[in-house]
Formats: sequence, structure tokens, C-alpha cells
Amino acid sequence: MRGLLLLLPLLLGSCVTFAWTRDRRHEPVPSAAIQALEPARTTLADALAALGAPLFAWEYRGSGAALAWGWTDADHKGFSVGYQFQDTGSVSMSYDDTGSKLRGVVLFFDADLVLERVREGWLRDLEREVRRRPAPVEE
Amino acid sequence: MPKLTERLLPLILALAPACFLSRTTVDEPLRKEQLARFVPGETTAKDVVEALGAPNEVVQLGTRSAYRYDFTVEKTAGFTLIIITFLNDDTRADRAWLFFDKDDVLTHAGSTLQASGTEYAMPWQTIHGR
Repeated sequence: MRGLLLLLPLLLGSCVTFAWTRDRRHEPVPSAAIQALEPARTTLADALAALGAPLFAWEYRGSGAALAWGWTDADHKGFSVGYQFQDTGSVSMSYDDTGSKLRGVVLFFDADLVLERVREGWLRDLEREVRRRPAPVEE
Repeated sequence: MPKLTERLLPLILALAPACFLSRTTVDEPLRKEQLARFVPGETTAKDVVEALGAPNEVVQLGTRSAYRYDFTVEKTAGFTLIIITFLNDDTRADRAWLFFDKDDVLTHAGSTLQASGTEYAMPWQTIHGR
């Protein structure tokens, strides 16, 4: 009986697994630096000096700019169960406690590159508010 | 007569250990002294491209433009014990954004140099203060 118990993990290894994964990307922007930003006063130069280089830059309202800083620390623990049916395919499902997302802050600058507003949250959601086709350039 | 545990031990030891380290880099490191040579009001987009090569991304901002340069390092450490897997990814980058006016003259520059701080770790370990 004890022998079977010892063999069980070896047999389960092909279909049941527990995985603890952690994905750390980029350095979070210090909240003090974000708090120090002042709409209508902070310039693009001030923001770059305080926060460093952003991850993304998008056109904002024609001549303005939206700059995004993002980071993640996704701690992921989960069991997964799967069965392999020879070469015909596989069936699997997993039970996880978190999803991997990039958190961040987006700064919106007007046409004079002065800070208009600050938005914090999931970068994927904030990006949707900003991204659109760039304005046409006049010859 | 050896116990069953002792008999199985070599088998367990043969199957159990599986660990790996992997390091992935994308593009070339950015150097602080190279970026310091770019002077707003003087340096042009042509100067930047001659010094750093083609940017990773060019963004149009109305009549302005911005160039992004990146160097990314990803370090992955993993360990598998039969049915248990631990995996940690740490990704950091050197990154520079250079902003140009409508005449392609540099107006603003921002840089972050963190790629050299990328570390191998396990999921429960604290790195970079978190």
C-alpha cells in the first residue's frame, strides 16, 4: 500500500500538476512621484525627469501626447488537470487565482505638452481610451 | 532486505530534479553616456539614428514624433518536482524615448536604465524590494 502511495505522484505527474509562477516586469512608478504631478503645471520634461522613460507613447487629441508607464507582479498559483489522447489532441482545464495583467499610469499632455490629467489602472483598459488612428499630417 | 522506499529512492532521485535558468535579451544595451550626448534644441532625428540605429518604434504625435529605443533582459528560473512546478520571470529594460518637433529637432528625452538589475529568483523570493 505504501509503495502505491509512493508511485502515485509519479503516475499523476502526467495529468495533474501544481504550478506556482511569478511574472515581474518593469519597475513600478513610485506613488510619491505620481502624487507630485500637477495638472496644468507639470510639463513633459518634468514628467520624464520624475518617472523616466515610459513604456508607450500615443497621440492624444491631435497634437497632444499620452504616455504610459506599466509594470506587473503577477503571482500565479494553480492546479491543472489534463489528459493526452495519443496524437489526436488533448483536453485540459485549470484553476487559477490571478490573471497576468499590466498595471500602470497614463499621463495626458495637451498640445503645449503640459499635463492635462493622470489616470491610473490596468494599462489595457487605459489604452483603449487613447488609441486611435494618428491624425493626418498636412504636406 | 531493503525497504520499498529504499528501492524506489534511486528512481525518485532520477525523475525528481529538473531545474533550469534561461536568459533572453532583445536588442543592444543603451549606454548612459551615449544618451547624454543628445541635446534638446540641437540634436536632430538623423543624429540619433546615426548614433543608435533604427528605433524600435516611431510614433506620430500630431506634427511631432517620438522614437523609442529598448533593450530588454528576461531571466527565468524554474524548478519541477514530479507534479510541482515553480517558475519565476523577471523582466527589466533599458528604454529611451526621444521627442522631436516638426523639423525633427530633439525637444525632450527620457531614459530608464534597469536591464542590468534583472535577477534569477524563485516565486517566493523578494527581488527589487517586492
